[in-house]
Amino acid sequence: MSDLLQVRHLSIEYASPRGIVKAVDDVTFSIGKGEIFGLAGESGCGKSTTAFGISRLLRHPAQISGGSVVLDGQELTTLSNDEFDKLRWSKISIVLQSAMNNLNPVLKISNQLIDAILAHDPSMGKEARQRAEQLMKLVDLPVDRLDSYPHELSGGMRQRVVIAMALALRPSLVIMDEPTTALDVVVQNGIIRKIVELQKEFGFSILFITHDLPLMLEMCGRIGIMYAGKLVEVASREQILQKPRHPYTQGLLNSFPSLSGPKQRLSGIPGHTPDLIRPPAGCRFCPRCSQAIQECQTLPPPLVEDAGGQIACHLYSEEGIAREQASAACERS
Amino acid sequence: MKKMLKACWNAFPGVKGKLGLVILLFFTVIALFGTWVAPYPKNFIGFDSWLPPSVSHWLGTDSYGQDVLSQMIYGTRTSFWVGILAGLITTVIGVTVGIVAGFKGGWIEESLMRIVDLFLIIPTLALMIILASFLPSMGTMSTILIIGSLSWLYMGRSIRSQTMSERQSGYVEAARMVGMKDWEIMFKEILPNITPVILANLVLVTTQAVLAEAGLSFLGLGDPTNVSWGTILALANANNAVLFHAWWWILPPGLAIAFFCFGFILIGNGILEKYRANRGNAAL
Amino acid sequence: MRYNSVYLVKRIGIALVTLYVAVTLNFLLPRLMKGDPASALASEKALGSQEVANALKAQFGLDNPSLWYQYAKYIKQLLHGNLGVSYANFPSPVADVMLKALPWTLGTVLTATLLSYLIGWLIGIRGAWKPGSLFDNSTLFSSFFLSSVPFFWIAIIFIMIFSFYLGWFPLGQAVDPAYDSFAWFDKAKSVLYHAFLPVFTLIIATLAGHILVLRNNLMRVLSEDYMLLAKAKGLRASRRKYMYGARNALLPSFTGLMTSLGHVIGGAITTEIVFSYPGVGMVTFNAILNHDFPLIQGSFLCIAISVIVCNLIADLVYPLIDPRVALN
Repeated sequence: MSDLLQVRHLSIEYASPRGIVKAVDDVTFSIGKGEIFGLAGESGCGKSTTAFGISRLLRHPAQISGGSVVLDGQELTTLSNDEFDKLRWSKISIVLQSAMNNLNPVLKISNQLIDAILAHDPSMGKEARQRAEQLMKLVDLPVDRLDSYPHELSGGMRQRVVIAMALALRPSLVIMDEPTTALDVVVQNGIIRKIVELQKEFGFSILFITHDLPLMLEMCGRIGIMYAGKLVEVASREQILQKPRHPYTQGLLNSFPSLSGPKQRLSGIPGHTPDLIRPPAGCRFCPRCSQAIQECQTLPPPLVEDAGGQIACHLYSEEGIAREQASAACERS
Repeated sequence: MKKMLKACWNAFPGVKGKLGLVILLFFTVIALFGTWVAPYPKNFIGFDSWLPPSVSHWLGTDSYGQDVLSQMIYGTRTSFWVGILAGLITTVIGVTVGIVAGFKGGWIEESLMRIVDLFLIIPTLALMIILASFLPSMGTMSTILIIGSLSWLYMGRSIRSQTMSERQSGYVEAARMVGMKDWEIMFKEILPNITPVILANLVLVTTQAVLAEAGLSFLGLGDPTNVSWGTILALANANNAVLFHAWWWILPPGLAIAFFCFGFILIGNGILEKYRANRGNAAL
Repeated sequence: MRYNSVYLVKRIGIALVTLYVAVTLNFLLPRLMKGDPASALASEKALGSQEVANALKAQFGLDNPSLWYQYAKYIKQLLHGNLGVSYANFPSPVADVMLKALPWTLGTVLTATLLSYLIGWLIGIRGAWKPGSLFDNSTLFSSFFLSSVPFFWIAIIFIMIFSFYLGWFPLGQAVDPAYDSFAWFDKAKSVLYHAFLPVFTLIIATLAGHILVLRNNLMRVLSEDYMLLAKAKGLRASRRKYMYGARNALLPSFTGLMTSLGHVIGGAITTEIVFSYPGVGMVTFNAILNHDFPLIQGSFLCIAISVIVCNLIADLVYPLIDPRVALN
């Protein structure tokens, strides 16, 4: 499987009255063609900011301060705005949080579907309407809903429209930022199933962002865990389910009830996310980590690639493993 | 003492708020100590008419031979007090109606807000005109009462919506749990929490009161024996000051009104901006 | 058609109730302020004739001390379009004086309101699109200043500059003295020429409010997700700005536009005095000077009715441009 998207050392920061906030710090990951890649973490960890950075939707004063984003062999960060506009929607489309106003309240659904099509291919003319009808069928909505206004549809229907809109130009990457968060569980299931079905049919890649880890484990092939602007672990679904390595990943998993396993007391993670203006000197998770060792306080752990995926934790660096073994040996003797 | 002054200074947020404060202090000093500052007595007639500005008459004289600077200084007092007192009356009514409507809800809110919506359509100035012109005699006090009792509508609406959002917060719930009476919750709990909104509104209604006073005086509905910025302008217009090139009679009163209100608006804007930044909402 | 009957009935109902309240206030307020309504409405001295005064008193029920009787009579006369007789313009009925004045005021006020709204809209959009820019800050600052200035002072300053010193416009009045001898084209020209400065004054005086409201609305709209999505869709900036942003910002301010009409008419009253423009404001001013009480009451009613009708029109137009209204 070849990579569709490669994010290398991406950093995003913005100026605030108190100082510069490093919302995303040196994040590296890649998404394969036809892969569903998940990005998880608490709110404010930078997962949405990463997505907005990739799709150049950052709101002032946030800006990319370093790193590269390569889509299909093309470097995105150096493109001019005009060049990037051509790429928008035809290559990368986005589905925003369902809790928000994704659709313009005073324009008919048809207008909002069609103007995305026409913006990139003005010659479509009447065909655009037919294309819009196809898109509605694709997400199981009646075609006559095209002439409705957003407020005349239910929340689930609206989100289906948004998904249909995202597929209008057959993009190779669809970014989904909490696409089902505000919907009730039944509607959510229907939409998630639809997304997976469409993904199988058309083979686009998805960058799926949510704080709902169980949902993510259900649909994503690989998952990246973010904490305080840093990517701390990337691993396959199976790996995360069976053997989460980073203490934060473990804590995150313990914060959700297991659907099938035996009942367990949820532990959660004590403490608060750190101040991003003055982050801890070493590992950012160190103040909340129950397994922290000495290096964690002073040395930020690098993201290391190994057989299990990527991990940024001193416990799994070579010295860390050695130290662990040493201390284990000490205890034994 | 120094500390207190410093605290007062810092209470006015931002460059805009501080600029507003300086402007207001200037007018306050003139309003309070004007009688000693003014070069000539009030309504003193006896100079030549239409004298341009000079050393003995900084702002010249008008068609009656009055010193414009002196009239301006006495006028400051009227406009200042009408603005402050009418603004206060407006605020008391507006805050009471707003908090009661927003907190009580139900039919009380419904009926109060219906009345507000209704009166918002009828132009306030027209109502003031009919009240003022049918009064047997017009004094500064009646101007204050008329303006104060008719200008609270917008404020009532704004305070109501703010109270409604406060009603949902934890501290109101807690106060209810402890068994506090409704009026205690309204005026001891909610009131202090929406003070910035009230202050911002107070500042706005004060400027409106100053402008309304000027309008009424200009229409000949002010106190005929008193002098205010509005009456000065009314006389200037009635005596064709433009045709006599008497810009010194026209510019000062208008600029005084403008700067006085501008100062208030700057302060109000500063308060609101700070409040919004602190609360992170734009529900105003 | 986007109307539904509930909305229609509700809006018309509110307008009728407001009208009724205005009429009742017009009856009650003078009686509250002053002891003797009979002498206010039908003063023998002002009318110069005992018979005329008595006839008027009978018409308005002032010969009977019962307030309810007077009220019923007053409503009945109103329904017949009788607002009494103006003292100063004797024997012209108040209604005739008002009908002559009203077109001048409505013409200038409506033109100014629409133009001011349009200009405020364009400036507000530009400011909100790049908040914190030099353009935005300077318009904000001047808006604050402009909203602190009385209408009539702006009028005096404009007359001083544009009419007196530059001589571009007439010093006052609504038409040329020789108006009646003009051909229709010159008549129209004369009306426009005289109306220009009053309208310009009203535009400048109300502009600040529109700029501030539209800028705030647009700032809120720009932070909405659909604006972000529109950008992600690769739509052109102009399309996002006007089709997506401005339209949404415009709609909530539309009802405010007509509510502001009351404010504009208030400002027009003093502005007309400065320009000696023969509208409702000038009539009111002269009525106040002459203690012409029936005329003062008449002008209040006229202003109130105009504003109520304009509001109703706005309410009926609104559902046509905002799809959300009629259904909510």
